[in-house]
Amino acid sequence: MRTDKTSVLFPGRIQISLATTLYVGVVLLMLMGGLAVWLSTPLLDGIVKKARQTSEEQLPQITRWRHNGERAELLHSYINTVFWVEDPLIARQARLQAQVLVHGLALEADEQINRQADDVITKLLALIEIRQQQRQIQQSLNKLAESELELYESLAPSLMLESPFYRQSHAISRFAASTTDTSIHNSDWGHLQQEITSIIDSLSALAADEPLQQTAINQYLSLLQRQSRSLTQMQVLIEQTRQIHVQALAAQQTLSGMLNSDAALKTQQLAERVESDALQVRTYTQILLSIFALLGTVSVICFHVLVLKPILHATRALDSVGLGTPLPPDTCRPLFSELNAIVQSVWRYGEVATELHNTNAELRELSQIDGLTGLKNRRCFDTALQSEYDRSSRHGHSLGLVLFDLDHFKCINDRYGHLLGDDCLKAFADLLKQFSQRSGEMAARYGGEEFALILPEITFESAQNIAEKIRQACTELSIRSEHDEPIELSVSAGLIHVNNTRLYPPEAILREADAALYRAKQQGRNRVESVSSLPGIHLCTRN
Amino acid sequence: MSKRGRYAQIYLLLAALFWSSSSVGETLRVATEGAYPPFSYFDSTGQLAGFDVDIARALCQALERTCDIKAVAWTDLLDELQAGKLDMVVASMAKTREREAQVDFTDYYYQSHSIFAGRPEVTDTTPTALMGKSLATARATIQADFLNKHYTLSRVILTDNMPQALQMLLEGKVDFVLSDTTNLLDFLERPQAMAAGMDFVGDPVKSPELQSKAHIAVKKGDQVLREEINRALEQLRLNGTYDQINRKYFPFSIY
Repeated sequence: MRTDKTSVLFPGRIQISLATTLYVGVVLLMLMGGLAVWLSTPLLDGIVKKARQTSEEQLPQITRWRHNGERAELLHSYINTVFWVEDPLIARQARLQAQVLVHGLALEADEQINRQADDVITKLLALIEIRQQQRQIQQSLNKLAESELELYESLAPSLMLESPFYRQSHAISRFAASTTDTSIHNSDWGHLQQEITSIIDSLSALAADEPLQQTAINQYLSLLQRQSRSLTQMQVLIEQTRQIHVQALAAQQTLSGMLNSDAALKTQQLAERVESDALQVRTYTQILLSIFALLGTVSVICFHVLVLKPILHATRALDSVGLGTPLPPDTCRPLFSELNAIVQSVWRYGEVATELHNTNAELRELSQIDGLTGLKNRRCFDTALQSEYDRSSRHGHSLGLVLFDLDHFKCINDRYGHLLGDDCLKAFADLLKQFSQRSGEMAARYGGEEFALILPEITFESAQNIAEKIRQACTELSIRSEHDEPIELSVSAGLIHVNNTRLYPPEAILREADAALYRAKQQGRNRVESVSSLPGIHLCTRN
Repeated sequence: MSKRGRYAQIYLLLAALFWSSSSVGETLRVATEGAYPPFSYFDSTGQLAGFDVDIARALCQALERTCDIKAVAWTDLLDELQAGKLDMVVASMAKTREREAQVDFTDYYYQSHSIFAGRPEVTDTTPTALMGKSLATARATIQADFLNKHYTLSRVILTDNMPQALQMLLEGKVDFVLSDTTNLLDFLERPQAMAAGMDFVGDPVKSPELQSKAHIAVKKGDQVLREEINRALEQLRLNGTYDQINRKYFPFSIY
């Protein structure tokens, strides 16, 4: 029923389960995490792959490229060494190293590079071969020169000085001396050729003039013609080596070009791609972090508004229930069904508690009041007397107590019936109520027709005065029977006034008041007997 | 006081245990052949020298380990490594299936190829062309396997090491020697070889069995050391140490 009532109170508002919301939140978080992983994993994988590619493929490529560059340069210098150096030992060493180097190139390179390398080596070997031939020519030139010099030595003594043949043979010996120590690169082969041609020409012309020297001239001519042939051959070979040298260098250039690699460019491209991937990952991460931060803030606010506030509200309501103050208005309607259930329970509990509180108060009231007269009953009186006594003792106040007993009440009851008796009791009770208006003052029905009045903080005279007024007023009560007979009602009273309650126990006070009432009855009723400070009961004082 | 003393003892013990359990600090026992110039040989002062030796030293430095490098006969190298008397072998060793069954190999540290050397009377070095000729090389090498397998028509002579085979060539006891080009280059550059008219014979032997790469051997299953050496090798190659050593022995890169 109550649930229905609250539903009716807040119609049309959406209710969500907190658990479901939490599940949805967790699932959303996981989805976002998954999205992050899904987005970044391929990128990170790519970065890893590219980094590996760089170190495993491009880096070796670059190293190889560098090595190949060095090899190409070295090959260039080997070719030049073989071409320029005339020392066969050095040339051989360069050739051997060049061979090993080119063989090494063949290990890794493709067929095209292989062929090109072979081409370079072939040219190098051809160069070596021609150099070998040239050295042989040089040797033969040396031999011819030696022969010519020997011939000159043998002829010289028999020749007439300044004769044309002598001059001619001297010129031949000079020429022979100049061809004994030739250099492939440094000797002027063309000039030597011209010289020998002119010598041969002049010697041939001389042959007619000097018939005696015919044999010697023929010997010279034979030697000189062989020399001339060698010189011609040498010049041809030099031209050949020049060509081969140029070709070898060109082949080496081509090879060098083939050995180039675009590894550096590829590496740079890889690095750029890695950079862009990394930047993308960074952007994703930033976006995700921003989303997380935003969601976190929203979550905190939602938690505050949707969860914390209802809980605090319910807690305050519980507090007010504990204090017995009225419940704050039930305006809070949480979004989450669980919290709603809690808040509703709190409110229901609060309502029940308030009702219980009220019922308790009623019951307490009922348990303290005499049903007939509406005065406090005996039990309440006992408690009140004790508490007033305690208060007086604590503060050193005086305390007055008056016990009343309606005179001849039994007779009235017997004569006019209990109903009228009850009327008399009610009338007197109303009278007592009028005299117990001050705070702390209390009138109670002590039993049957006996009443009691507690008068705290009062002088003996005032108490006597009040008791006397009540007695007087009682006689003036106009109560009539069924037959309209006036009924005379009077009351006897025993008053006790204690200045210092600490000296007497409450039982003694009550006892002395009772005794005073008894004396009033004894002394003819309708009177007030008073006793003050109880001089006769000193022995009964309390500590 | 005694309690503190005991704690100290325990700590010392733990430290000692940790020290002994970690391999760092232990001396590496390294072997090379010592008879394979210019890769490993004894120099004029009787010290081990050569490309392999320098590479081994550089590796030890990169690994931050002290090394005891010694020369071991070629045919004993793998046995001693297997027996646990050595930790690594840096001896221009090619990776073959048979050797891989016995030991583990690192990445290669140089490449080589083989060629015949002798008097350049012929240019053709096919098995038929060399029929009846006597060919020498060192025992238990890929060259030895290659000659035994393909040059059945020739007389194949196996020596204990390469210098012996080359000596036989100089003395005219064999016609040709098959060896690594870099090794032969070292031989051919010597005055004796030049005087005897020795040279490369024919083209490099173009057989996959001989186009080999030299690797460092470690004991079978010693993956930790193998990986450490691989990393150290890469470090040497990238920081220029390798090139420096290379240049010391060869005018061009042999990697």
